[in-house]
Amino acid sequence: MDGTSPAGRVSLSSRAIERTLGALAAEELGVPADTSGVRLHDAGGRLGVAVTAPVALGRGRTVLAAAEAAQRRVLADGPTLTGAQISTARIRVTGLHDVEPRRVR
Amino acid sequence: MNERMRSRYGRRMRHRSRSVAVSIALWIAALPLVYLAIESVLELVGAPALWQAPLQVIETVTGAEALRFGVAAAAVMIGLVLLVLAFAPGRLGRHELADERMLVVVDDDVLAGALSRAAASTAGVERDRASTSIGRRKADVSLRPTSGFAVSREDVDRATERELERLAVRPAVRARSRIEQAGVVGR
Repeated sequence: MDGTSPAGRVSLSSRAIERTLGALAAEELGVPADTSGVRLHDAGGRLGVAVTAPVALGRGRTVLAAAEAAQRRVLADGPTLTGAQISTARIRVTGLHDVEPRRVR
Repeated sequence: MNERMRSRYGRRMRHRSRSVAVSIALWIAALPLVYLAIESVLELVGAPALWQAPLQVIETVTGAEALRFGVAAAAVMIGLVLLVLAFAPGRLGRHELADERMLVVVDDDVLAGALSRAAASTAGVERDRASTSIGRRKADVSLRPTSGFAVSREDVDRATERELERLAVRPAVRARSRIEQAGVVGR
């Protein structure tokens, strides 16, 4: 049309952003990615993120420390991975996750 | 079609016609004259007045205080309305586009749509996130960004300016864009 940009439009679905950020937080919390849930909202033009996820037992750190690590991870790596400016990240720990797979006897 | 004809026809299509106002004004002027003429002839031949003799009408109107003010007020109102219709430009919210062969006149809605589309596609947002209001000489484009993805105002300005340049709108319109503070979480 004007020659400066290719025709068409690229857009990132909010679902993709949600899953990416959820996976980041889950990794830091030591739980599978599909156990985390993410809500996005507007924060003055930037993205506000709210993650709900369980935390893995063990690993020698407190639940609070794990949650804070997850928050830092979302704020630090979220923008690089998704390209979105993230202003706030809320992490809500909803439960404890047993990482050891249970064996069927 | 030469340039003078083109600008005259363009003007015509961009402004409201005064013909309706003119014909109403002429009727208002003609009716009393016709009445006067009829009553005068009847008076001359000695026939009884059809409705009322003109002198009698004047007497009735000036006699009662309320009626006098009523008639005066009505005359003032009609006069003011006619003055406004006569002197107001009567613009129709349309612009001309440059075209070599024909005269193209578009409604401002169409122009607004074009600017919104240019702004939205530059910002990479859905078309319905941009809205434009157009005046005679300026256009205000406002855009809601997607949360987390900042939109550069300069880019949007440049895109709308380029669109206006491409269309060569007349009278010339300047676009000003505004990026809204709050964004929308994309779908």
